[in-house]
Amino acid sequence: MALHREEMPIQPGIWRAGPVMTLALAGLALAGLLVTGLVGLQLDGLVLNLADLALVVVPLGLWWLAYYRPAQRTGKAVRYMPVLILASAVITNGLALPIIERIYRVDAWLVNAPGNTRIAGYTLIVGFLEAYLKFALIRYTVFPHAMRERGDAVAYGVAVSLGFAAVQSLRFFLDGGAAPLGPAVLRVAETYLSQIAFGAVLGYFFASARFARRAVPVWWFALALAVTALLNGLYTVFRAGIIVSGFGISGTANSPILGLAVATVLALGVFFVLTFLNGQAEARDAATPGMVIYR
Amino acid sequence: MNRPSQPIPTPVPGGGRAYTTRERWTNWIALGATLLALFGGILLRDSVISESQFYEDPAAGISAMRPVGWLVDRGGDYVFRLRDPEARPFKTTLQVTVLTVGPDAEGRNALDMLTLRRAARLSGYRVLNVHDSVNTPRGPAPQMRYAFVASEPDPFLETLPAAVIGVDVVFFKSNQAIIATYQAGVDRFDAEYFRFEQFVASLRF
Repeated sequence: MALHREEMPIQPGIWRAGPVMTLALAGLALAGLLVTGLVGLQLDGLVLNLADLALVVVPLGLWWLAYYRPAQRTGKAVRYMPVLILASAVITNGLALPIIERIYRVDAWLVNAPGNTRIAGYTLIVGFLEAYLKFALIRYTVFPHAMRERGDAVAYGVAVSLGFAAVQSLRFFLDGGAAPLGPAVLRVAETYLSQIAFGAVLGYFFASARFARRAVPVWWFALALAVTALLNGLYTVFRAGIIVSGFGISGTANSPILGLAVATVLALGVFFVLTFLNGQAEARDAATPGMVIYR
Repeated sequence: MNRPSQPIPTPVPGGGRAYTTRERWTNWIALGATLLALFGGILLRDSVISESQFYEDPAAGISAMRPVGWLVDRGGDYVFRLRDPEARPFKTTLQVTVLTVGPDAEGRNALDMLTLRRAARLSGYRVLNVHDSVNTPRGPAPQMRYAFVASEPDPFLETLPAAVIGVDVVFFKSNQAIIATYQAGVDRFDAEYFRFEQFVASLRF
């Protein structure tokens, strides 16, 4: 029996949906890895292609289940979100990836550079470019009028990042060919989890600007881009270092599960910090009621 | 945390209205920061790509700047050879060779000697052009361009042969011809030519 809107539970919003989605995604990736390892599942041909494609779609389904559908059911769905996901996917494929891969060609010179150089490179090129495109998508479409509460801004940040992650995962398969399920699961999960974290951070800056009681500084969004980009650069470099699990005379051994762990901890950590900050901000709002206007 | 946020008491400005000056500044500063970062990325890329270290062969009295990460080899009929281990399928090469020549020798004589050597050793070797004097970072010098096909000697690696373009530039010092050589796969030749220019400019003998 369908509930009337007044009887429906309060929609938990992004503060719960974010961590839930993070854990679900990490759990599914681990389960997929376990199943393919234990059963020795070997797919090939069209079946493998379809399985890889399904991997790209599953996180979007999780987002719909964990955030969008409950929001719709309680009448609190944020507007234009599916369109924004699609738009971010188009921009990623048409602008972000060509600039990163063909103009800057970061894979050709940055991968083997010293650690500090890699952090600087990934921050300045990949981090800033991705952050600005996400910023522009939100800033020039839904900000500030479609954000009715702080969580909406974070949800928009996560949504545009899902579009980025979807295309990055898809391009991984299109450019490199179909990948075996085990590595593919990890790759897709890591991409989505890290992008969700970056998007949430950027979204929180929008939330702070939207619900500020006095005008935010003119450099506020530049700071947002810098923080998000730096997080991107640090994650990319530290993840690459952490997944190296063993050294030997003939080479190094990688542990991809550590990569998944890093991405999961990053996403959970970001939501933990943002939830705390949101709680503080809402407590301040409650203590000093007044008009909230974006200026 | 999970409670509903504060309701907004008034209609929110921003939907469909023009930006204020302050908002425009905010937007422009964000764009400016991004452009600045991307410009910084270009500078960083250029500095990483052109990063080099001093290398000297004391026996021959020749020194040059070598690209970081390139392997040094002194085991052939050359003074030293620098190779990019990451270049595929042909390892991009910078090389210095010394030939003993007579006091009246010209650049073309030294280049002909190289051609005779290579024609017998390299598959599909062909001289593309020879110039008696071209401008190099060390001044005018004879130059020869050539092409050949590089094949992997190990048949178990199953690699396709690669078309390679090479350049020799000849400098003279008393009765020695010092030849700086650059060889790269056809697809990398132009992109990495700057390394040869840097290499020649840094040569000391």
